[in-house]
Amino acid sequence: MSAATPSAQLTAFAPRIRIRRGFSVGFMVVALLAITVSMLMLGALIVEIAVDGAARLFTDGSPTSQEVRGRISIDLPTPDGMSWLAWGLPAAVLLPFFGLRVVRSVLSDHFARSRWIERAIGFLTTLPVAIFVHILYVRFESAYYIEYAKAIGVDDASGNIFQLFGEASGFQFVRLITAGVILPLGLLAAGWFWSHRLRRPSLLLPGVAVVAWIVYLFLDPLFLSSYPSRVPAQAGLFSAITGTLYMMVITAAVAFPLGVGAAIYLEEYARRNWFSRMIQVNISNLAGVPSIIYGLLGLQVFVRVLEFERSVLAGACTMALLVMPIIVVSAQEALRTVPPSMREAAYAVGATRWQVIRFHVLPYAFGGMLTGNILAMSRAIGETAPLIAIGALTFIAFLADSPTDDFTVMPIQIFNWVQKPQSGFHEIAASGIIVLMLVLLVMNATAIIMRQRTRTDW
Amino acid sequence: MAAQAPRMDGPERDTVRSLLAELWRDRLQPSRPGSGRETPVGRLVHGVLFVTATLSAFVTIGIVLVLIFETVEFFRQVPLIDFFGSTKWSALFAEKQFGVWALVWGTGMIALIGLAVAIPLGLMAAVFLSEYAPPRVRAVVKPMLEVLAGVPTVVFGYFALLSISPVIRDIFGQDVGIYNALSAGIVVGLMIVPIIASLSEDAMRAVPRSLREGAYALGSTRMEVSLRVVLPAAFSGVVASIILAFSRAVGETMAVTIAGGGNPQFGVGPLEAVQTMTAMIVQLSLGDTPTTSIEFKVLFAVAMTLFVLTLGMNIVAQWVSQRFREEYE
Repeated sequence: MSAATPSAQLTAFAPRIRIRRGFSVGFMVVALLAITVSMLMLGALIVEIAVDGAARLFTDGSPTSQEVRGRISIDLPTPDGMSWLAWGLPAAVLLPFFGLRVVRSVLSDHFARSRWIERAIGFLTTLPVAIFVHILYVRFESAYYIEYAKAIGVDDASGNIFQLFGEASGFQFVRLITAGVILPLGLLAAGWFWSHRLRRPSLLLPGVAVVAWIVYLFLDPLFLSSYPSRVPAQAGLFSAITGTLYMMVITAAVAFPLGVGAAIYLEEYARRNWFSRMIQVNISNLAGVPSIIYGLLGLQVFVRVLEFERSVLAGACTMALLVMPIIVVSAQEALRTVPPSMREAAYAVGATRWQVIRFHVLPYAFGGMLTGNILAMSRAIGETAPLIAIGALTFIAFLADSPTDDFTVMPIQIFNWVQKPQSGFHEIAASGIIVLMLVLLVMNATAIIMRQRTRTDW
Repeated sequence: MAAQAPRMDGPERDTVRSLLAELWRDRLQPSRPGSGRETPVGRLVHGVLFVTATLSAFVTIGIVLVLIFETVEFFRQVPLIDFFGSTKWSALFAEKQFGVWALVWGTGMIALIGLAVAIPLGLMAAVFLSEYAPPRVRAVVKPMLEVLAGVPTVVFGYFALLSISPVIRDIFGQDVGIYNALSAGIVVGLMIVPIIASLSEDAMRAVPRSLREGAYALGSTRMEVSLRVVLPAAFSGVVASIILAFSRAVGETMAVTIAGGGNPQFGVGPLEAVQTMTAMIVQLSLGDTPTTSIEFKVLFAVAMTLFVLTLGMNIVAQWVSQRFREEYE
């Protein structure tokens, strides 16, 4: 370049600034090494568990696994002609939409798109997720109903969903409907609003759903749908998975309103006085209390004083108290990102305080709050100690029908298996860990994506 | 020429001002509960939200009351000197001894091994992330540390028992037990690396750029800047992160229960089985302990000790980070 450009003139005069290297490079290598070591440890952990766990988790068609399958009383239906037709066909029709989605996301800037097309595509991409949930539940439920059918004297129960509908009665019928119909429909409704809520529609969730579906087809259904057993090859995670699901739903229902309410109060209502400072300090201290102490609190308050017994409800309430500080802090951070000018503008046109919060602050902070909630739930899924303290059992050979039933959760089941001396149990513990980590991975990925997608730069 | 807005001055201006101030004070100002524009629904919401906020205080009160209640019951039957003055623990034997030091020994050893693993790894990671890493690397490594922090502790327990312990036995000979404090300590260390790394990194990034630039201008290398300028400047935050990590290691439960073994003894070495306070609580909870028995009550006495220890460390961490913070402008 010619020396006439201003920048060239400047560099000609300025001394060349360089940071001396010295030991710097070596130090950086050491630091990188430290990180690599910790990451390798994490990797080793994953590989170790994957190798141990794969044996039980996936059907390999070996004689033993066939034999075991024959011996087990619950003979789960593998997808037969009818169910392939029912679910395979829509999937075959829907998969091209993913292709379309890829193309669209690449070209999205060039599309002048209508909001309804946007929503329709969001709807369709969530459909496989809904189907996945449906199959998962119906297959879980069918194991339950075959047993139920046997108990009432119907011997030829095959787990066919239509037969089950015919035989189910009362509460069971409601449960079947909830599991098989309402939940997937709820997911669809969520998908309906998914794409227009996000500024950049995400491929990742539908992608995860498809992968999960494929993995599911190869999974050994016996592991996910068997009750615990004294024989490792027959033991399964069924009651633990359903127990976790029940507990998580109640935990979220209790903790989310309480945590978000406290955050809204502290950020939007509270004056800066000793009271709000005390609450704030208190919340940060609560976050540092060891989880087992929450377990003892739950044991005394929920199990003994309120007489919930050792039930799902007691476990969920304990867990809700445990994760509440996390939800409060993350919701507060979400509320702080909404700039004051938003509030002032709303006040200036005469909105009341609740109107400002409801219509102007919450909609913008909601994504962040939900993210914090998902992270809190993923913490709760992995927690074991408080549930052991309140006395959740490890050997549950039935399903929790109501919130007052005994229950177990995945980490407790894993803990139970790890502690047994036989190596067969160690293998299924690893299988259980894979399932648990997959669930956590999906939850954390969802949280991270939501955090990125719903963030608004002011 | 554009028409100018009429200028107000004198008494007229003051009147408008006071009117506006009055309007703001009585009708609009959002930060004064009860005096702003609020509908009955708004007031109801305000009340409900207030209750949810105070709930956290009740949780703390609940914890303290529950712990104190049973602890007092315990000390009615067992004198203080037997609890704090003895190093023998045998709660499940016929001849019961409740020397809490046996449990504190196990807890302390595992937490210290954990710190010995976590401080170098965590600080290195923090220095690297804040001083060396390009933004793209940082954007990848930091979420990975978060993932490490999110792994359930049961998983770490499995890892310690079935992966680390065999390696330790290969190194130190097969007479080392499968349950030992070292393997539990190492995984506890891995567990608290993310705490040290992310909190220290936050503290280091808060050090103003001008300090670094000043040091570079004097000809320092990047390592000198990292270790002699940034690290001392962020020292309070780093120390606070280490104390917090220590408190987390003390309160950690499942991994030490699985891998530590159940051997509450004072003075055993790192290659032997130990039992921590938390592991003891789990052990007693797993058995069906009658709620009137002394074993049930000692559970709360130990939990009280644990609670006071961790709470004390958390408060010290907060105090350190505030008291010794280097203030820049």
